[in-house]
Amino acid sequence: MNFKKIILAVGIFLTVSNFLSAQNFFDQSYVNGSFQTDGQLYLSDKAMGITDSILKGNRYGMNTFGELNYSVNNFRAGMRFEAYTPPLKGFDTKAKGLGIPYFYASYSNKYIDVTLGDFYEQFGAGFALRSYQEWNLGYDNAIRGAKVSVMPYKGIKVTGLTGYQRWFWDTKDNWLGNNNKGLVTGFDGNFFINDIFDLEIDPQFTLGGSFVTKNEKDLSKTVIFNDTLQKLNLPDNVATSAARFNLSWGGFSLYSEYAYKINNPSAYNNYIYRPGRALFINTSYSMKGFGVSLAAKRVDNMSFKSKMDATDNALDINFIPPLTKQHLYSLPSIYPYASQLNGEMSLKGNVIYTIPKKTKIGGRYGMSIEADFSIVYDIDRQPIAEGIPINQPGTKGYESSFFKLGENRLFTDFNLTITKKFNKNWKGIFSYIYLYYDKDRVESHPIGEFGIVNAHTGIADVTWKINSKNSLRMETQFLFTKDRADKGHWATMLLEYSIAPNWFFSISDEYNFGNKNEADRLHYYNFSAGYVYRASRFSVSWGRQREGLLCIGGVCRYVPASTGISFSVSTSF
Amino acid sequence: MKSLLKGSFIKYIFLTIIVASVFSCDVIDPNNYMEPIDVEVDTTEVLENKRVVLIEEFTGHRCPNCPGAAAEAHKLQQLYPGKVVVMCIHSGFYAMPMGLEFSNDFRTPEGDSICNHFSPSTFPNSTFCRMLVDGNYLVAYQDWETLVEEVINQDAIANVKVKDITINENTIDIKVDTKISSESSINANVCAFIVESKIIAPQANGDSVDETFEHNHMLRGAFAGAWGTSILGLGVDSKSFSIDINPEWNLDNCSIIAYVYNSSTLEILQAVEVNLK
Repeated sequence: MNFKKIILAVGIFLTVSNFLSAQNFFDQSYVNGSFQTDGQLYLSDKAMGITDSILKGNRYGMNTFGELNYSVNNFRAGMRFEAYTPPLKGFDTKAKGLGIPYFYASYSNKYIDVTLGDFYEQFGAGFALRSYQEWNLGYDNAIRGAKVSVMPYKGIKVTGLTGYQRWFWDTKDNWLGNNNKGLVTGFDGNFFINDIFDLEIDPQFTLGGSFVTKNEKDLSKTVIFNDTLQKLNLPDNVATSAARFNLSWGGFSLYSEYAYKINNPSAYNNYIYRPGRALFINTSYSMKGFGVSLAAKRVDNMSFKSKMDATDNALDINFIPPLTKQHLYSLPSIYPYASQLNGEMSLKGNVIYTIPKKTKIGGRYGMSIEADFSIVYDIDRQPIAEGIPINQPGTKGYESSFFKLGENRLFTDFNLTITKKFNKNWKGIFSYIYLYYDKDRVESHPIGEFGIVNAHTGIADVTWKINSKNSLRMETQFLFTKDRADKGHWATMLLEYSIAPNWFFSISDEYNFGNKNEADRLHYYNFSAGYVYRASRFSVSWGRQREGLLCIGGVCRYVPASTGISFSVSTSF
Repeated sequence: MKSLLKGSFIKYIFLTIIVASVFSCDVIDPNNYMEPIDVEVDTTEVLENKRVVLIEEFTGHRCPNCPGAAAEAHKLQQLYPGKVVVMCIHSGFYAMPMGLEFSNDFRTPEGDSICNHFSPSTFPNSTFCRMLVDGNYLVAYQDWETLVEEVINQDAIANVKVKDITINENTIDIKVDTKISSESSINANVCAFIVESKIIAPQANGDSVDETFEHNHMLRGAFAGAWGTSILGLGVDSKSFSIDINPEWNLDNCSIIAYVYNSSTLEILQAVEVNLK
């Protein structure tokens, strides 16, 4: 009996037993779900170098999912259908196909929560384990197996899990017991000290710890060292452990997590044996109208995948939370930061202050000012011995002083945002953003290919509420790069007209007016319209998409340039 | 403390997970990270210093235009002996068996995997060293000749050599040595396949069917899956492979194709074909 049949049998058993025992069965049954399809028809565009021969056989893409969850009493079951027919450009072509990659059955009560099938989970901030799905990245590292959480006493939660991670469309034979990727097993404990000891006073204190292992069989790797062919002695079992605490006292909070990974030679770290370490500290204070936060992170060799030779965006067991702001406006998003799992040291500060209403500057509605700063450096790396290059496969790789910055600054972001409502009809958001972006190192290009980009961006986003139903939003952005680095200067204009609560229309243009290459000074125009009805949204657009990186949570995918007609339909119930 | 765990089988589940987890750590002694292995790797004689072309030809026995591609491949191999390796992958609609006439099934799981990845919408079709030509992996066979002349004069950054071929009763064992001499380490894989020639079987040809068509370079099996296995991205590496012999193969007409490709871009960096016997 294969795993799917077991899940089905458990699901049917629990459903029938609930049906027989519950008098008001249907009153306690809930069904919810969601559906989304994103499609694009690709058109040739001579100015962008997209010719018919390039598009040959690849004129459309469509990504679709439908998710259905059912619950009755303590029982839940669900599944997700996905179809990439074929995937939209920029998504991994290995995603092509359709099927049901995610299904589960679970039971929970006050003391226990059991899931069989596919599940997502995160231990702490994710340094030891995080399985999650991000539709816009085409990323899914769900674990297929079993998960049990026990709450034996108030304030205590212990979770254990084991299973194999999703890798695009694993064939049926490889669903479980897959020899091509490792078995992930882990447990996590979370202890809310105040609840355990009935302390109903501040400070609130939480402790936690995680332990996660990966077991991979039949590993082999040979390398050349000192002109001799060497076979690596590879660890079948690689473990990561992490400890964390959280302290909160009124508006103050302090969170810290430290993770340690034993030797984990892999393709991602060039087969070095150095243990991985990560330290994350985040502190914040907030009160009415004011908030401040400061966070620091050091990551050293912390890629942890369930397949030794995987290098792409898949099969990550853990997650390194980014300490850089994810910009929502299009131009600063040209230079997003991708987490460097092999090593980075970063610092982030954020201050937000709301000038009260009915003051000279705050005016009738108040005014919000937010400043945000983040900086990321490479870690220090020194040779382990004279004559052995840094990152030599089959060695410890390098020595690194914990507090010493590496010689390369990777990224800086300073931004200031003012949000102001002028009167009942007009409000505006005004931003200045400075970005320092080591494009070669962040995007793994050969050093010197693109160099450093220093970009200054100004944004004005003004909304005019014409009346109770109609509003017009106008967005203007300018981005200037020092010495016209990379693609030089950009300007963006967007007009969005909304008729509440159903309709919206927008027209926008990103103009690369400062490109050093005159032939590349293109307009990336876009026209779109949409209709919203309750939880459903329909939209269609026509225009150009510039190439670039799309990053969510420090995880990025490349988006190629395209021209075409796109549509999107989404709904939930 | 009220404990659900007490007397419950749940605690055994947890204990099992915890014990299994705690003891699942293989900390390697720093003095024992690697050990020399006794494999003779010829670092001086490894093949060509110029590129050898590998054409993956997507074809099918019911594809009426495919004999044209086969003829072109044959011509190029005559023109550039030893410089053009062709692997005919029977996959897709035209490769499906149909009726008595086309009852053969020459498809392979590995061939389907490669074909599905590049998704040709028309046949015949091909990849040419899996290079992007005008931004597209797929190349019409009419373009091969121009491309061959360009590529075979390029210096190879990778070399590949098939050696120690042992034909056992049920298996074939081989060793594949590789060498990559780029400026910095790359992500690279090596693949090895069995191809068979001189297979006489029906083939659609224009409006008619050639009942005695000679199929050559037909993909029959893979030593290391469709996408191979990773190798050292800089320097020399060596892999040992084995494959089960399919009784349908005529080993006298079989050869081994091996190639090294950049697993980030898929580009095939160097290829070689050697006769099995």
